[in-house]
Amino acid sequence: MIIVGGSYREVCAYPEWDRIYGSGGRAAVAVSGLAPGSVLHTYAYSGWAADVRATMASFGVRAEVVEIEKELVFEYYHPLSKEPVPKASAGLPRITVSGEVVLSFGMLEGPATVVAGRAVHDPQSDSPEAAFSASGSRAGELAYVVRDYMLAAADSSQEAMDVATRIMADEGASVVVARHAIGGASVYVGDTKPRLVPAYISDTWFKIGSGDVFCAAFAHYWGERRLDPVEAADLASRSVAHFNDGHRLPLPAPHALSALVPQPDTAHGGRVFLSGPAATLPQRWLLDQARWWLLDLGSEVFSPFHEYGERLAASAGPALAGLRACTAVLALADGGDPGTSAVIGHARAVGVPVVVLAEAVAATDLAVHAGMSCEIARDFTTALYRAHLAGMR
Amino acid sequence: MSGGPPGRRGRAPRRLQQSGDGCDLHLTVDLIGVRREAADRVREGDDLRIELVHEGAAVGAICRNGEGAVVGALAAFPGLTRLLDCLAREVPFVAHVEEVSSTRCVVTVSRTDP
Repeated sequence: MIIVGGSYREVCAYPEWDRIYGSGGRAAVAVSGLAPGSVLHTYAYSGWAADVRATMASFGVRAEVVEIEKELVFEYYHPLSKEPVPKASAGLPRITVSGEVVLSFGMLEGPATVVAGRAVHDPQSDSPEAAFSASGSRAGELAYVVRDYMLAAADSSQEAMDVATRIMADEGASVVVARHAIGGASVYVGDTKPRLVPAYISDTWFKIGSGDVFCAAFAHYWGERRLDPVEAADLASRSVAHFNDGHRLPLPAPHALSALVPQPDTAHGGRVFLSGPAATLPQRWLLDQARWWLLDLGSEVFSPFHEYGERLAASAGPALAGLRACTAVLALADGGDPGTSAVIGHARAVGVPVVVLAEAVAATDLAVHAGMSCEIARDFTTALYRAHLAGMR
Repeated sequence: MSGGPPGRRGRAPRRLQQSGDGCDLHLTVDLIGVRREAADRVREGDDLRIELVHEGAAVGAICRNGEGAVVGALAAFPGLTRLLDCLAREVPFVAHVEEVSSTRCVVTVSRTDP
């Protein structure tokens, strides 16, 4: 397979992460075992272009690198919080590739021109310049992979199906795959209703680059193995679950993915009780972030702090009543907040599942939580994911 | 916002500056392609052996546990080529295990000779 995509430095604070991947690099490593002899075409900062070549070589991937003078870095506080996208210098030479199967990603440095028998394209943005056809690319068969929010039309009378159909018409695509935030996808083929592919459960949720991995696996199974697009998307979704559990690459063969369990198939995301201290700015910031991202994942959120504000101290009764209407608790446990400890105990007593975020809590201090069958998450993103899932069960 | 870019924690785990032979490397990374069976026999605080491996024209660096099993590979970080070059010159390095689970192994790589 030929992969065209960027190589960027990715730096995350929590969990700590400082690597050179980018969509192109990650996808190439991902399929290195499934698709031996793959070739990566990429731009890379001259300061670490040799490291890109060495990394790819160690996985049996040949790297064709256009070196650039500016280091492009994606910075994250946590894997959901990508900060402003870096800007590349203008006027870089365009990458042109041709081959039987090509996976192409939109790049900060500009679009590549692709000629392929079968192509999978992820524009990475809704910019018109990132469209497959905008660079003069063409393919015998084309699958377009986008995030599901990109199928939300500006015109509210249009449905996602209409936007998918328009992409097919404009780009000449026979398949449009819309990835969901929490995993899984909707697969559009022709003018038939989309087929839903489930997300699969992983123990932890790294998230950075999960879309790249989906595209890589889909390109292999649909492009190279010529599986049905729904079947290929299902294997891609399973591959993402494997990857999410600790950024595991390269991807394994399908038989190693067969035991994965689908996420609950419910129309709603459950109702999560959010508990944590808010006495300091960092604590308040974390509460706000947790609430925001849970809502973004599709959960309803009941947060006594946000619900009652200054009346919180006098609202313990209504807050606990609210707890009984929730399907899960996310407890932000760093700092040993007595109120949160009480919520955990009450929730477990009435059978509500509890996910405890404990980034810097000693194992001995978590014994009581473990004894109450709470799920312990060591990083923020995983805690959100587990709470969202627990709420749906 | 003060305090630098959001991705940086403020400490400096990565040191790639030249000192003499250019092999004064000190960096913290997680291994790629972690093998569950080998990782399950590793504990925080263990030291893993770092070796060069050759496959055709490609050269890579892997970490082995005390029983000689491959735990995972070192790749995809700034300074990889320098590490490979130093290993090729037989400069000894060790990977000290900072965090480990069945699927993830974070190590600090540093040279061991005086």
